[in-house]
Amino acid sequence: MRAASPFFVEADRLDGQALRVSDEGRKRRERIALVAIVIVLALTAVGATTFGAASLGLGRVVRIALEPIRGVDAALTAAERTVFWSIRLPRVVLAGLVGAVLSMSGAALQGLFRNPLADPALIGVSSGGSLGAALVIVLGAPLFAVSPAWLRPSILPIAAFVGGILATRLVLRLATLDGHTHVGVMLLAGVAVNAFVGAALGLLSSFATDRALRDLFFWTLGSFATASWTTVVTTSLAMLACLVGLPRFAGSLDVMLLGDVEAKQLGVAVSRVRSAIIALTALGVGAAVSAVGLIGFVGLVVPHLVRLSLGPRHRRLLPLSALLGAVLVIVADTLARSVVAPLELPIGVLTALVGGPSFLALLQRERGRTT
Amino acid sequence: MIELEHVSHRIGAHDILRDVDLRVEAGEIVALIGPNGAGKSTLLGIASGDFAPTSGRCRFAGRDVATYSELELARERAVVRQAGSLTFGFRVIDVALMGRSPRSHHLDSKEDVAIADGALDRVGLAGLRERLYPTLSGGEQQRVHLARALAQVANGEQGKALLLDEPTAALDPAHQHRVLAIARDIAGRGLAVLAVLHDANLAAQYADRIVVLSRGAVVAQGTPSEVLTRELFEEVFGVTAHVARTPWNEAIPWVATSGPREP
Repeated sequence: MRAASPFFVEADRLDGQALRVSDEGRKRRERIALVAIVIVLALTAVGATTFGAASLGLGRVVRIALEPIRGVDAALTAAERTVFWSIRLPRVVLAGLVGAVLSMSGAALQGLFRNPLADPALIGVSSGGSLGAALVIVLGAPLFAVSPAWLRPSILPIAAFVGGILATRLVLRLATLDGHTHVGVMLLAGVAVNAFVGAALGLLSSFATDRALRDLFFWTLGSFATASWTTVVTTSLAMLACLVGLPRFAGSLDVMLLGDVEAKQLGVAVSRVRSAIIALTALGVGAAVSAVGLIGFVGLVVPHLVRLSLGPRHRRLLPLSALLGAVLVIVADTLARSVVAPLELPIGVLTALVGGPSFLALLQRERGRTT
Repeated sequence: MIELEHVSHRIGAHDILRDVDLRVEAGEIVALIGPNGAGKSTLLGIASGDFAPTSGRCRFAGRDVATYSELELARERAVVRQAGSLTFGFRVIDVALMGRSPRSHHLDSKEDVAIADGALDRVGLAGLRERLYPTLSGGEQQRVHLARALAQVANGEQGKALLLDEPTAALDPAHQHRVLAIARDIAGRGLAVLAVLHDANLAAQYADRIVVLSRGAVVAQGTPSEVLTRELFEEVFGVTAHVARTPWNEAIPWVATSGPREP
């Protein structure tokens, strides 16, 4: 039954009163969703800091967190403070940022490509990032040898970031014919670049050492194990630029779903908007990938979830996708480091393991509803 | 309002338009007719400012279209093309509201919603405002886009022109007349209306002037009575035609066609 859908209201005749109520109802639903997800995000973030090797209960966490406001709490140990401030908190903050960036970028690209199955990998940023990382992991030993100690931890992220941006530029250039970027060609160019990078990765791994192979394997499945304030500080600027910048184009993204020509006729500077969106997503996702490796499915599934419950309008879709993505990645990371503790699962395994089947279930349900 | 001077357009080795002159004044409806592939949609695209012709110029309200920004143009003219492929689940009212986007930054303002609702009412879709656009029939989708265009230049602040590419293509007779009556009404309020039409009889009933395009060139233009002749249908469309007068108005020609012209 279509009537089961929350955004479908049968209105057989013009009834001003009822129609206004439905607009109000929708706005109220959106506000409730927004408040609810913010609360859930706060609870998730706090809850996530209580999980880990050292036991640190909720009460302790709250007391540590409130110390800067309430003054020194003598009951807390230095070790507890270190665990919270230097290990758990940066990891949760980074997970939240990465989840938000991947989801919001996924939502924006799905709009840009007019394809609900698009995801950040399509513009080459993820595969380019893996190639950059793989080059460093497999062939980077000489580079590490000549680099000063302070630079070494940053070599891999920098290579991944540069690789991601370069691959996106290549996809863009391939899709630009006589000054116009063609969305359809861009999809194909993304597929081609991804295939090429896949081959290069295969080639690299065929003469990698066992150690390098293992590093590569973990990198391509993503992990927050190395998260620190340094990672947060070095990547947050790019990620925040993405999170703040993309919503500015929400209205244009709505209109661009009608088609490029129609969007232009409605006053959207289509090519400028498209370049800006691709640049912002490449920047944000490039930074995310450089910090934590590849985390699949989040950018694809989260916007879909939000769209199913609140409709496709980007003014709501973008911020809510970011918030929900942050929640889900924080939860996934918490699971990744607690289900087989003291070992850690790569987070990409979890997101795909849980995301894959639930996405299929969603698609089935959606199909059952629209046909 | 819309002036095309010596407009020619080439795509690769093909001449799509050859030295076309076309004027649409404020307050009139000009119907563009012609066989498939005559260049009608290309001409409409150039008149809309979608792209520049290979040579010649297009002026809008006295100013070269190329000098307008997308936004400036969007506040002055609206275009309805064949319904595109919007597959995302926007509600009908959301699509109509998109017509307000060139004018307002906050789309959900009460005023914008009222204007979009008024536009939907005008095209007879008020009852479907909450429906999801992809679930509508082709003809209903086309009317949603007309409502969007009305919200852009006719309901609320008034623009200067409305361009329609086969606005009646997917519609039943009642809605064909409804849509063209709306166009008539908009022209009556001072907008220039340019419409690509296939039905010569609809063009005769609603247009002030008819321009006939064949193989990229204007082969006839004038009032419906001047343009719609037996010879025109034989030469341009290759069909045998019988031209009479409508029973209710002697001034309006009435055309019946009967298959390919005898050799």
